[in-house]
Amino acid sequence: MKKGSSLKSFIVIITAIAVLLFTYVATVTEIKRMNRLKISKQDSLNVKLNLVEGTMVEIQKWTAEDRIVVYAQDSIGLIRPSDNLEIISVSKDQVKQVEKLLSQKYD
Amino acid sequence: MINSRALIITGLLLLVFVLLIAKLFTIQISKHEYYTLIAERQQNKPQSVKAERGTIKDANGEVLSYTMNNISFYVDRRMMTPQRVDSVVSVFSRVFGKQKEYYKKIIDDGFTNVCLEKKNSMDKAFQIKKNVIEGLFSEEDFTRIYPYGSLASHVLGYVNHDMIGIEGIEKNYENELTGTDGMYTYERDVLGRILSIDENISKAAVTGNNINLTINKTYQKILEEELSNGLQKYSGQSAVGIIMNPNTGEILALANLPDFDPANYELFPADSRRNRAITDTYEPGSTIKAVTMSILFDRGLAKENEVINTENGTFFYKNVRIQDSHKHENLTVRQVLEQSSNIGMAKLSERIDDETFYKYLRDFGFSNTTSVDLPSEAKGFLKKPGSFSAVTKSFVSFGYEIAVTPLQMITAYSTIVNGGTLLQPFILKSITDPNGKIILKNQTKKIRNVIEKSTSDLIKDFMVGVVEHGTGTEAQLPDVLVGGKTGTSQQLVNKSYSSRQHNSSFIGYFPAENPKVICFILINAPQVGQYGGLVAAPIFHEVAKRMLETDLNLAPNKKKIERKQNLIDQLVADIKTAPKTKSVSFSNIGDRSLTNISSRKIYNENSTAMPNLVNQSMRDAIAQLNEIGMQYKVVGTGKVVWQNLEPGSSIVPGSICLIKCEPLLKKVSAGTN
Repeated sequence: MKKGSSLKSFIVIITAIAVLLFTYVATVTEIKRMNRLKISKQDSLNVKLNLVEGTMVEIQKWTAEDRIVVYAQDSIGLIRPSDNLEIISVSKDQVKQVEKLLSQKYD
Repeated sequence: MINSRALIITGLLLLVFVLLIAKLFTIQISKHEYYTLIAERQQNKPQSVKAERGTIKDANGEVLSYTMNNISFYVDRRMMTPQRVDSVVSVFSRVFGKQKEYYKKIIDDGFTNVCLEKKNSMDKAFQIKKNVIEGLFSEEDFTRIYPYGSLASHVLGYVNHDMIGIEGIEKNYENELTGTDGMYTYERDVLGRILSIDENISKAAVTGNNINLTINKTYQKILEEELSNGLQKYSGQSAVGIIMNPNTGEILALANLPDFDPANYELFPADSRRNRAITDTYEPGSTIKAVTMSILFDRGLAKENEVINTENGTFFYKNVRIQDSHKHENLTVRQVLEQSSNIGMAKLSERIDDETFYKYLRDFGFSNTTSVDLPSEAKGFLKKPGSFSAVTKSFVSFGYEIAVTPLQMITAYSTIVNGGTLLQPFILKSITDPNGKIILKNQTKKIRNVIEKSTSDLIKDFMVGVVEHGTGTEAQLPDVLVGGKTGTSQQLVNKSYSSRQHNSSFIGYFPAENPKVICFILINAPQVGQYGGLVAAPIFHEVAKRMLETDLNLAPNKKKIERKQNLIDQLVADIKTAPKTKSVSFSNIGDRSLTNISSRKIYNENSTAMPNLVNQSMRDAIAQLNEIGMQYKVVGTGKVVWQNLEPGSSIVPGSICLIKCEPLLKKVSAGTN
């Protein structure tokens, strides 16, 4: 009886240690995998950001004012205004008031 | 029996277990360091990660230079087996869509390290990197992109193959643009596949900071295009153009021709890559007259309507011949600048003592770097008073015996235009980190006050006259008033001044009432036109016209300037309409308040009758009119041949005496019509 119970305790302890070890190894492996994934995603993000930058530059080139003006003048026949700029000044308070009125109206 | 067998088996197992423990002890404890080293060499491979170079943007945030993250792939032929070659060839063929034979031939024909694909996008790298093949390597191979080719090439500069800035902003802000390289320590399995990354000893690369310039891409493009057109039209050798904000010192555009493509800089000669605007000096010629004139007026050594004998175009000054391209017998001081008379300037400069002259020129920034944030700036050359020859001052007064850079010249002009303060020109607006946070913001740096505001206003007024009816009429704009000065200087060729090769320049600003932009144009050795007023001024005109068309905020209050073709008709008409004010103003100017000539005396009511001025020299006639305090207008030079007010007639307050002069010695009579 005594022998059997000590063997049982031994098996329980060994099993517990084994489970703990297994959990530890699994956790460490998962952390490593996540780390790897993080770095890989980070690299991927950097590449994407770089591609976005390149695309933005392309957009910038295609939408450049001097390029559009040529099309506007030659294809559509638009002309630049020769008159002086008309400057309309609206105070921030007025804008807020208008916004408030609009929101009240449509709420 | 059973017990003895069990005992033997247990003993054997125990023995094996003890042996295993012993081996483990050896590996883990007694030879721990040895096995750790082997394991690290096999599993942990550190890999450096290059930092991306920061971008360079213009004043409006448009990218002028950025880095493309590329990657190149290599194989080490010494590590290649036929199976590995097949694997490499299959993977590359699949990812890049080329024939297998193509890659096979490259590998077969190569020596040790063979480049299979160069500067490819990183997304391809991810596909390739999934396949781990011994002997296949990759290397980050960044490319610096200049989206607009040669635009602002001399400002931006370029980087070498190691991404190190060699010229321009790329060089000057190398430390800011270069980021910090990172390093990843990978743990790999036996097949070389990445298991994990040791975060304790790994660090990510930090991208370089971004540089925001004061350059306006649109202005830059306009300047380069018009400079190129001008260089072609006038058959010049090279050209320089600078656009600046005279009130802040911001360089809005800077162009040199010939230029180069920074991405392929090695294909262009060093001559094309030189930023002439700051590295090359030249003798400025007549453009420096505005500087000399401002010294004269700041020191109170000249009066606007004082008459100077300009010797009909040729004058021997201390046995050295000085010539004017436009012959005049007499000119007022204002006209000396407007008509760009070397003789007048030389005579006037004698009133300034050597030390004062030198001090002012130094104060204007000559013979000193402007400290602009671009590399390789030249200081220029200016003789010290002790080494002045008998004619140095006179020659410097009209732009010889002095060497300046175009940037020094436009900076000096900015001083005249902005009210008299020398500002440090700058091209860096701000530096931001990769997240857009501002690290450094550049601000206007005042160096010193050089001239009084009243002097500045007067010289600006004179320079409006240069453009309205002087040597710079080609720079006129239809609805915006321009001020400026032309310059033509002979070049020194083989130690003597060439009559064929000139530096033709023009410096102009607009709108003259409230200058927002100052623009410098220099054409080196034009074969057509030759004079600054005929070569550089028209280029300025085109630049200014296009800038005003593009940026409506530059001159929000445009007003059509009605210019009179026939000055005499206009003056007569002016008199008939009886002037309401006692001040005299330009006939061609939009904003009259700018052109009031306050220094002229107002009519003296105690004077009695109009003197007879006919047959007198212009100088004597003006002296007499000044004496009686009468306002006047002069047309031509030489002797007075006509006056509008009859001699002996009583003078009506507010009337203006108009006199016409001709350089002829014929007998003429007084008349009133």
